[in-house]
Amino acid sequence: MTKEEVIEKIKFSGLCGRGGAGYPTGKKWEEMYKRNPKEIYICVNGSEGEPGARKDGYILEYHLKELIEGIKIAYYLFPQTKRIYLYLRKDYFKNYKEKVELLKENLPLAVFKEPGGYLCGENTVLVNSIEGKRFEPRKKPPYLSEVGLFGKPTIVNNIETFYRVYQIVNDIYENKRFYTIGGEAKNPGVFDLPVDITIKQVLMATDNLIYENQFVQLGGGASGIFYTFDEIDKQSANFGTGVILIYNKKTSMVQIFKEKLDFLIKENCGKCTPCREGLYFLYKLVENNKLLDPSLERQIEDVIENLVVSSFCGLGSGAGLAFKSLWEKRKKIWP
Amino acid sequence: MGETKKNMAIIEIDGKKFEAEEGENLLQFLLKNKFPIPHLCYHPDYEPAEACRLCLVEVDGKIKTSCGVKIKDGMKIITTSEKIKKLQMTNLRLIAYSKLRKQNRQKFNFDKIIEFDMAKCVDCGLCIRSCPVFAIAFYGYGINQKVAPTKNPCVYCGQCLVHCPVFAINTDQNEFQRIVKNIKTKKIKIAQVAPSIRSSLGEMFGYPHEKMSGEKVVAALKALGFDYVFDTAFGADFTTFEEAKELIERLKTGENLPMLTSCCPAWINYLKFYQPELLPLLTSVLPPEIIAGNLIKHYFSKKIGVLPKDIYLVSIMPCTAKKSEIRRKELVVDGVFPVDDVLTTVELGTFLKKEKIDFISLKEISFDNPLGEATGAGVIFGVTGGVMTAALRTAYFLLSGKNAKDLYFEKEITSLKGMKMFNLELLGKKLKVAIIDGLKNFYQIKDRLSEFDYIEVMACPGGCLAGGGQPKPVNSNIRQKRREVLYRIDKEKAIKTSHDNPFLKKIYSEFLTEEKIIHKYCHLKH
Repeated sequence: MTKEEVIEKIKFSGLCGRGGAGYPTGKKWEEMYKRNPKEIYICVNGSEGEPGARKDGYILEYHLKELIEGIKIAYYLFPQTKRIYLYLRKDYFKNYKEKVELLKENLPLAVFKEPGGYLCGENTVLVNSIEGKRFEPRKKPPYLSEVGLFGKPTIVNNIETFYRVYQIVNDIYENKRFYTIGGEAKNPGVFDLPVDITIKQVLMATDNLIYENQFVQLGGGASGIFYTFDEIDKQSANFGTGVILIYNKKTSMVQIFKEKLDFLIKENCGKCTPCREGLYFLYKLVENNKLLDPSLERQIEDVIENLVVSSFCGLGSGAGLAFKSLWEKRKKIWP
Repeated sequence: MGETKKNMAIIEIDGKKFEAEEGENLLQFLLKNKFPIPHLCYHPDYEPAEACRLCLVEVDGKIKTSCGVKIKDGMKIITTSEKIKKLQMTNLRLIAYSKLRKQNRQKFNFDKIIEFDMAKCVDCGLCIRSCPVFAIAFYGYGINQKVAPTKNPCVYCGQCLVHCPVFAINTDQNEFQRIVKNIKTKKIKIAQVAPSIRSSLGEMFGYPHEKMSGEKVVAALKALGFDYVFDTAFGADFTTFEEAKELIERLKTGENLPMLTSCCPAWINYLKFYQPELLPLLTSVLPPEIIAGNLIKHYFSKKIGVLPKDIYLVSIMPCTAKKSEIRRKELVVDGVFPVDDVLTTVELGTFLKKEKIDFISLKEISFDNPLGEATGAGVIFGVTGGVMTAALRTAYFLLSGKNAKDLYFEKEITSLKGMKMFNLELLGKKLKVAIIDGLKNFYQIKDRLSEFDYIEVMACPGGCLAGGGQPKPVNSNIRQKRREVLYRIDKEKAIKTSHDNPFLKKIYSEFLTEEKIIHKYCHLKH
């Protein structure tokens, strides 16, 4: 197969990045292919920092060969690749480094141990962390495809994206993605299901259908959007990292806020005010038992909206959207 | 080809049309045109960090931090919508709210010179961006993020201090109180004043940047109880004269080249801590402040009939690193330090305000003599390039017996960002010199020193006039204005060359009569 044919196939499949942002993979790769820079880097993102997500681990465990084949396809398209970094969170690094080394053959591939936490999964932070810099997002533009790792054009894609590329090129892609189901689920796990189905269909197919006293968070434990029982049959499940967390109304909003904030106040990079201080403000409200104080409602809404609109990077606005959706639906969930 | 004309862009701000330069920084343009855009983490000296999220505006319908936007033709900008105001206020409130968790944070300081009050920090990162040696960095993440020292030693240049938007960084306040107490209790008190203070102290009392107020500084110091006030620029004339002699000597022998200037103490600290192998290249001539100190303590003391150890000498400096320099044990002559304490411009201004001395209404008083009258060459030491210009004026004279026609050596200057290089004829041979404006820029020529014969390095961009002890704010405009003041003094002085200073000649014939004595008071082997 020629390189053009490979790219055409990926484009035709409609594959979108599976790391969360959902950028069309074919478009990303074609653009790089046409520009044809002298030297590039490829990063395979296996940071999987969204609370609840396990699909990258699932692929490493059950489809490692196919993943390596997918990476080989990228290397076939871009032989000018100086190095491929398989970027793995600490537990994945420990469990799979040796296996990858045995399978990589002549690929110029290095398995890289993620030095930080959640925020290293953001592509520009990932690149900074490989360079040994502080874990902080970079400003875009310039995009990583122009000025990326060590100043060179760089392709960063999620582990699942490479796995799906392998399927596409070998004509076995069925337009599916992995969903990780967790929280108070009856049947938690990672499931391979079609991209274009609703949350309800995912839950039905996996024997996890929820009841009226339940609701879900779609996309990830930190940046996923909350949906009520009434919304799940209208809402497409194709969002973020494909995580669906199931909650019970017995859990209070304050508890959910607390759980998310305990995680986020330490896992944000500290760079911008809306994220560092906005999350701290909410955290203190929860700590002082003021989250439900009606006189603070406006202020809370301002801080959350500010997090959505004025954060430096996607992690901040993602967290903002998560809080915003829960906050807006609180009266429906807990009438 | 002539000058390439920059592309103009027509943009719309709050419904009004403006003409701007394509690619210009939007926040800077807005501020220049008097739009009151709040901002904390932006400083025109550095790349924008876009961290504080205060300078938000709407650009073509999208909310953006204006510090990170480059102007494009046809842009539509809104600065005053309700939405923008609300977001700005929210971020400002959040920053204020963060004090709650920071209030118990410890202070830290660099050798009792520069003090960081972490309770006041707003995480803007400007100190980190301004540091030429990466001596501070962010540690920790999220709410645990803190500015803290790295393993790299601080060179005390104080650029962090002048760039901090919230006064979280200061000179060590305990030290300041100690000096204030000394000034109030010591018997014979003498002050010397660096050239750069002439314009900048007045800024703290509302004078414009371009106003000279040297005589008011003298009056202010006398009002604080100083018995004599001398001009450090006079010491600079000695530095110049000795440095020119040494340059000629080194050029003749061809040894120890390039010669490096030694009047910037942060630069010397840099060499000591980071590149000690280059120390032998430094000129052995002492900086103006130290020579002036020696002359006051060992020459002037005799004139007034007191012992050197009984004099309490305070230097008023635009510099924080000077505080480290005066502690160097190698500088002790006959059992006394040349200078006892250093007050920065800001410290002096603060002291005056605390003592309720009204700077504006003070009657002007001249510097004391015979260590008062300096030449133009001595005054321009406060500007990057001044040391070298002064030394070259005298070297030219010493070699040819007459003064150069162009006293500014402005021919054949090639300017890079933060440095200047030029060639000139001396001793019948081509001389290649470099002037480094800001320690960070030294890295540009670090590996090609052998190409040069003479290099001046000033750790602070702009020179002493924008040093770590100077009032805030500092930016390229203000630097330019302060520079103009010093050059104006130089232009107005009848004597512009150090070797022509009659007081200098007098001291050479009365006091510095032998090589041995000159070395004792004016030189130090690094």
